[in-house]
Order: sequence, then C-alpha cells, then structure tokens
Amino acid sequence: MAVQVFGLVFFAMLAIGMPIYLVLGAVAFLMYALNGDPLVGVVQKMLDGLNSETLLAVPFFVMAASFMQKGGVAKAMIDLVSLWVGSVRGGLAIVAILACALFSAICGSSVATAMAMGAILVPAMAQRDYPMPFSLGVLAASGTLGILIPPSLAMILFALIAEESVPRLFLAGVVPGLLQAGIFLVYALYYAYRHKLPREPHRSREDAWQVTLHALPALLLPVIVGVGIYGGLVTVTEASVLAAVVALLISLLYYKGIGWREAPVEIGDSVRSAAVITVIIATALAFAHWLTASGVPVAIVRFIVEINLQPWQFLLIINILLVILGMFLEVVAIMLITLPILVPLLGPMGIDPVHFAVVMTINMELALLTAPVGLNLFVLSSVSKTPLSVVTKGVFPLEVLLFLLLMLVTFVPSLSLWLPNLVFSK
Amino acid sequence: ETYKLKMSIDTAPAHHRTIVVMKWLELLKKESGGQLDIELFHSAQLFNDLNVGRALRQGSVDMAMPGNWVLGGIDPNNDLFLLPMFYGVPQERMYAVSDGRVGAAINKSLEDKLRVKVIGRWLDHGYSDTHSTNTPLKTSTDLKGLRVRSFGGAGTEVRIKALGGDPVLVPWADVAMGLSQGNFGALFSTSNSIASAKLWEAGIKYTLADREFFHQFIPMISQPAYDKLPPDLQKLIVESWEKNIGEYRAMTTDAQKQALGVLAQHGVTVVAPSDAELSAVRKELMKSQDELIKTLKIDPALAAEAREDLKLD
Amino acid sequence: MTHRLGMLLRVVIGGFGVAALLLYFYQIVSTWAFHEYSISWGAEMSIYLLVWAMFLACSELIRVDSHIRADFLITHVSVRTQRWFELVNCLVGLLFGAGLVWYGWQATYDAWDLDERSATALMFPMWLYYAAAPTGGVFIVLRYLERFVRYAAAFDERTMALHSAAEV
Ligand code: NA
Ligand code: NA
Repeated sequence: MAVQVFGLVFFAMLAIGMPIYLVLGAVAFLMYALNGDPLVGVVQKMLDGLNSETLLAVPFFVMAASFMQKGGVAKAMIDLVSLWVGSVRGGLAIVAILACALFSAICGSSVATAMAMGAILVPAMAQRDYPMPFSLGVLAASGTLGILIPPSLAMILFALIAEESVPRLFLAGVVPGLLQAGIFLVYALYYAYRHKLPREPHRSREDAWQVTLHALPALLLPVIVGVGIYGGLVTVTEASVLAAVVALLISLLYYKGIGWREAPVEIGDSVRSAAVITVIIATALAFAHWLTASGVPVAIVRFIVEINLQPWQFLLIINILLVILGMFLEVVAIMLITLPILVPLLGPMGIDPVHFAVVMTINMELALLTAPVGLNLFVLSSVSKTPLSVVTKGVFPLEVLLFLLLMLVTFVPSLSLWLPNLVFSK
Repeated sequence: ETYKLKMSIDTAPAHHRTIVVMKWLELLKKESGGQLDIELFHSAQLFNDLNVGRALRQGSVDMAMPGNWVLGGIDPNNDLFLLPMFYGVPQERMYAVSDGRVGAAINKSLEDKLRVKVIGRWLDHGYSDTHSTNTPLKTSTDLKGLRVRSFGGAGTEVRIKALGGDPVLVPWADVAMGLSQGNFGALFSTSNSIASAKLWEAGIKYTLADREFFHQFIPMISQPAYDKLPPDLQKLIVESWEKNIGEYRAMTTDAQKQALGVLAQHGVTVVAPSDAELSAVRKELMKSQDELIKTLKIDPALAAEAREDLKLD
Repeated sequence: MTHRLGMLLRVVIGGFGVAALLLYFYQIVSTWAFHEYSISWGAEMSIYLLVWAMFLACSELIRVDSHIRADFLITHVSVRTQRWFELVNCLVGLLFGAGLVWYGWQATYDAWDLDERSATALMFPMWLYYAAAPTGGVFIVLRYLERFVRYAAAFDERTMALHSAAEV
C-alpha cells in the first residue's frame, strides 16, 4: 500500500511544479507517518546527512567558481584555452569536456565538478551563442566524470561496502573515464560541425603573448589545487577551500574583477546557490531512509537474484534496475540500498567486484542525469538560471552515449580490469 | 504472534561484527520458533553508529550495537578506554573492567540517557594497532614527526601527541585515499580493518601490534521495544546473548589474529612488541593520565575503579 | 519588513560563509606553516556554520523563487492554472516548514536534554547545530505564508508565472 501512495503523491507533486526538495521532504514526512516511524527522524536524518566534511566541498567550490567567474579569473583562463583550440569549430565545448575531465582528476564529486565547471563555462558558451540545451547538456554529462575519473567518492563508498581496495577501484575508472571523455568529444565535434558553431577569433602573435601572460596568475589555481591534492598536502575538501581563497585573492589583487566590499556578498550568494543543491541532498537522504527501511528495493533485488540468471543476464538486469532506481534516488542512497545485497553475489557469479564497481559508477553517472531526481540536471539548471526541461533536453543525446558506454564496460570487463591488474598484479 | 524489530549496524557484510550479529539473529529466530523476527540493516544502510544512539532514543530503530568509542558524545565516560592505563593491556585483563562494575556503571548511564536496555556483555572489536607507510615501526614512539590519522576523540589526539606524532582527524571513509596521497604517514586502526580494506595497496608497509586501544561494541535494544515483548522473548534475547558471548568473542579474536597474518602475507612487516616494552611505554604515557581525565570530563572515581580492576603493576 | 528581513538574512548568511572559509583556511595553513598556533576544530566549525547558513538560505531561495522544480507539466498549462498549483505548493511548503520547526525543535531539545556533544576534541554542544533546522523552518513558514497570500490575494498573471530557478 505504502508504495502506491508514494508513487501517486510523488508524481502529482512533481507535476504541479512543487520544488524538488519540497517533494522529497514532504513525501518523507508522509511515509514516515504512514509507517509509524517517529517524524523527528526526518529532521534528524537531514541534520546528520549535512554534518559531513565531504558535502562541505560543494559550497566552497561554488565560492571558488563564483570568484573565478566574477573576478576575471575564468575569463583569463578561457581566453588562454581558446587560443589553443580556437581554430576548431565548437572549441569551447571541447574545452568544457577537457576541463571537466581535468577537474575530475582532482575532485571526487560529480556535483561539485558540474557546479564549478558549469558556473564558469556556461556563461562563456552563452556569450559565443552556443545553443543553451547543448551547452548545459555537455556540462551536466561531462560533470559526471567526477565520480569515474579518480578520485571518486562513489568508488570509495563501494570500497567500504565491498571491502575492496580503493586504489584498485580508482585505477579501474581511468580507462572508462577517458573513453567517456573521448566519446563526448566526438559528439561535440560532430554537433559543432552540424550546427556550424563559431570558431574562436584568430589572434595575432602579439595578442597571443598578452593573453598568455594575462592568464598566468589564473593558472596558479589549478596548479595549487592539483599539486596540493596529488602532492598529498591536502584533502579534496581542503583543496576546495584553497581554491576559493586563491580565486578570491587573485580576483581581488590581480584581475580586480571584484572589490573587497563585494567579496562577502559573493560568498553569501555562493552559499545560497549551494543551498539549492544541499537541501535537495538532505531531503533526498531522509526520503531514501524510508525507502530502505520499507524493504521494497531489497525485495526487488532479492527477486532478481533468485531467478537464477547467467552472469550476463544478471548484469543486464541489474543495470536496468539501477537505471530505474537512478531516476528517483541520489547516488549514495542507491549504493547503500543495493550494494550490501549485490556484493556477496559477485563472487559466486564469477564477476570481479572491481569490474562491477565501474559498472556501478557509470550507472551512478546516469542517475545524476536522469529526471526526475538528477542532481547534475539541478546543478546546471541552477547555475544557468534555465528551466529544468532545457537541461533535460540537451543532456539526452549524451545520456544515450553514456548508456552505450555502460553496455560496453559491462560486457568488456578488461576495459576496467586491465590497468589495476597491470599495476597491482592480481 | 511475530515481533518485527529493526537493527542497525554500520559495518559491511564480511566484517566480524556483522557476521556475529547475523549468526545471533538467526539463532534468536530459530529458538523463538520464528516469533522474533529481527531485520538487520548493516553497512550503515539506516544509521552510522555515530548517530544510532540518538536514533534509539528517538525510537527510529529498535536495536543496535555501536562501538564504545563513538559514544563519548553521549556520555564522556565511554572515552575512559582511551586513557593511557589501557595501553598494551592483554585482552583478558580488559574484561575485568568491561564485564565488571565499571562496565555496569557505563551501561547504567547509557540505559538512562538513550532509553535502552543493554543486552549483556560487550562484543570485542579488537585492538587498534599502529600502521605506517614508509616509516618502519619498532616501538610506539617511532611516530615522531609523522602525521598520524586519528579516528576521533580527544583521547586519541592526546595519545598521538604524547607519542611524538601530529594528529590529523580523518574519517574512515577517507583513509585509503589519504594514505595513497600521503596526507598522513601512519594511523591507529584495528588490523582487521586494515586487512579487509587491503590498505597495503594504499601504501601500508609496517604494522606494530602495540595494542594502543581495545575497542568493544555494546549490544542494546530500545526500552520501549523491549517492554513490548512478552517475558519469554525478553528472557531469550538476554540469555542467548549471555550463553554465546564467549563464542562470539572467540570469533572476533580469531578474526583479529588472522588479520595480522593476512597483512604479513601481503608483505606488511608485522612487529609485536614484548610485554616489557609495552609496560615501559605505558608508564611514560601514564604521566598525562590525570590531566586527560579532566579534559575528557571522565568521572575520576570511575577511572580509579578501572585502574584498580585492571591490576596494573 | 520582509525586505529588511531578507537583507538581514543575507548579511548573516554571508557572515557565516566568510567565517567558515576563514576558519577552515586558517586550519589548513596553520597546520603547515605555524604549527604552535594550529587548530583542529576549524573544519568542524565551518560545517556547523555553513549548514546554519544553508538552512537560512532555504527561505531566501523561496523569496527569490530559485528552488528547482520539474517543469514538464507546468509549462503546458495556463498561468491561471499555475496559480492554483502554486497555492497547493505553498500549503505543502507551510506544512513542511512547520514540520521542520516542530520536529527540529524536538531534536534540538533532545540533544540539549541529553547534553550530546560532538565526538571530537571540540566536544561541540550538538543542540546548537540542530537548532539550525527549526530556525530555518521559521523563516520557511514565513516565506511560504507570504507567497501564499500573494498568489491568493494579489495575483498578477503577467508577472507571476511559474518558472524554474530564477536569479540566484
Ligand atoms: Na574524480
Ligand atoms: Na536520476
């Protein structure tokens, strides 16, 4: 009964344009009540979920992105990059994908990646008259690389539940991650050619020097963050703080795009933008808690497990199930619900958990992109002030490509396993 | 009539606590003729141990078995076990404290504060040992100048400082990444956790089995949930735990021992200091104990009792 | 009045954000550069500050109409119909806000009564952190009340169509 109530109420609320956080929060209250669970649990779950250092990276990366954007840092960087790839049609889209891949190599969160890159690149692409759905789609989809290219929060969670080694999982994501970036690049080039996207204006040699020099301080930012994380000096959240502070300082002192008095206002506005996403995450956690306790997803997984499938059938059906769950739940919730049941089956099925971790992660990337609950869609909608439907439309072709990659990675295990086995030797 | 209860723990299926709990719940189901149907949510599906105490109090879950090292926020006396007097103590001696009057006092306070019933004697998790990446470990004080991961709690930080290290608080979820990136060079953790996370792949090369801390899990059931059960089921829960705790403790102790073997097998240099060495380090650490009791807000009388029951030389 | 409240909240949110950034930054720099003056509680405090700021920001996002909504249906109905939808949304919002206030208060009181502390060296009193929920809830209730009245009594078809994520 409860599940039917849920389905009805959930879709009705979504349809009448109720804010997503409110849909999740209200449904959580309703279902706890129907279940006879104490309602204080809804609020407690939200508070416990937000009390997390990992989540803290979101507001800090938004601050960094906002300083970069308003302070002139982003413009200097984009000028420099367009100098390099300017002669290619759709050069900025290429830049966007590469930037997301690079940022993913320092940031373990897809939401933070989409947020940081989106805030900088969407305005730039809009300025060059790129079609909005295309720009938003490219950034939302490339942003998901955050959890596939190491480091990855999703892989860490998988490692914890499956008792696998984190470095091994990280390495397994490298090849599929590069593959995803490659596929997206091909798509962007094709789209740019079909839709005659602009080339960047040609620069004289003198100009080129000036642009390069002007961009040097801006390059400090990726250097500090990259060296900080890979040099073992700071954690990802610490890096988000450093990025915010460095972006602020370069903006104030060198590019002078913002003044000292505006800085606190910018910080406040960044926290507010971050809140759009974090309140959704908080209510989504309370909601997922009910769904877990209800036992419904567990029953579905058990059912699938019990019908005695070949490994390839098993993988296919699990993929479909994960895509469906991914429409309604957020990444951590899906993994917590399904992994404890799935992981013990992998051994008997002859499926390498390291391979499955990559399959899971690509599914989670899809979950971030599928309506109605897709955090990366929300991020792009929020940073670009564009209706959700525009993002959903633009992301669709990339979602299809990502699904094809999922199938490829699912049925060609060596794509995931080759690198970790090479490094750690089985 | 069947009684459905929900139990929450935050360790993965292969973890020794999860295995023990599954075994026990299975037994309860069998011995109650199916009347006692306790659904286990492991892997923090419902709650982290850190938050499960409050969930019990608020009635959001019926049973749990949190580790005593996460309960310091509820009652500071749980941090008692982070005091220097417990450094290097053999396992049997720990029971004199946790199964005795000190354990009973802590149980009583948890029962009042969390509105729970403590089901019985605590389940062993095992010792936190010291593990490092590039610095060979022969004694506990080889941590000098190293950044050392703390699992939280003021007592842990003080210990790291006392041993010459530099404490950095890192949640377990970030340990593997922090290690492989070199954010810290050593950590306190049970060898079992190190082995199951295959942390040699993240760079762990040395393990010093120096028994820094001994950790135990406290089995509890919310009082309202307990009161709703008929007397025979209440009795069954308490008695089956008491009857089997010896076996369960043996299981986790065994898991702990095997873990050291697994580490050695994967090329980790495992060193076990002699009792004399451990005593010497403990004597040194003890100098800060009184100060620490004050900072941790531990009841001095209770600490004195523990010290007496430990029978330290 | 409501304009002033908005300004006040913006200042508080900005202030908390600045404090969080500085505290955490100081913790990072001090551990590396001037060890004797290093702190280990900066990160923890900045979580509390930012979560407080974000609970307050939730009501501000209602004021500037920047919470994200699905728009697959609403873009296909008349603005008049949207008005009825939004009235329902505001009512649910009111209930949710009230739930945050009431149950958030319970969680806060509970933690105060229990004297729950964070399990860190800081031993932060958790009720201070939990109080963010009921406090944020009060402002959420206010904003949805305001919005309900506006859609019920002062509706203007030309300016009050629903859309997703306005200027943030
Ligand atoms: Na990443
Ligand atoms: Na989704």
